[in-house]
Amino acid sequence: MMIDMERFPFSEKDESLGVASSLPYLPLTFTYRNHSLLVSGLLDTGASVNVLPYDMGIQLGADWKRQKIPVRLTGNLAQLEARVLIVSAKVAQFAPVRLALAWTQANNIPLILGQVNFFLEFDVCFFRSQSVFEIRPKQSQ
Amino acid sequence: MGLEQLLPTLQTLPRADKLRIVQYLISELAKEEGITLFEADKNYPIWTPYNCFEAADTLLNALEAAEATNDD
Repeated sequence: MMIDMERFPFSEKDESLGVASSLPYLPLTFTYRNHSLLVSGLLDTGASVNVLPYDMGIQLGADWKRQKIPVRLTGNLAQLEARVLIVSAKVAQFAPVRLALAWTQANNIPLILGQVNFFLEFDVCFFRSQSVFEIRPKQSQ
Repeated sequence: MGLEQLLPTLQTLPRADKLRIVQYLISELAKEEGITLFEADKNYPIWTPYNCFEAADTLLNALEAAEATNDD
């Protein structure tokens, strides 16, 4: 069965800088133990993992102390503790998928959607010259 | 001050100052065009977890375990 792509515009993060500040932010809904939260995640193909800012995890109803699996991050995030959090994620009209997030204690970052496992679940095509991207669930072989 | 008065003054400047003026003008033009340039001696944090493969492996193992137990 052919699954349609969903198209989203890039978001301008700074109106005064216009297209220079455009980034691919994807709206999606996270669900964790009956709590749902509409979030916006940065599609970051250079990121090895998904990263969830601390406050977003709290808004989602997650309890830091209950997350037992530590994750070691790199770069600026290496200095802060991170733990695994698994949530259900729904993009557009597509069926929900399970995403594993590195829940960090950092807050001054966006929600990062990275290779593991966002890009394992979704195929994404960027059209930066048109400031849009298209997305669809992974296709079975 | 107009360009006619400015040019003779600029010609008298030492080489280092001329280079600084070139940098300044490029930066000003970039701002007008909406292009952000990096500034010297300023820190630009990069939050993207590059080459974080151990963490990626940890997440994949946690997913596998969650799927096996059908847990969150």
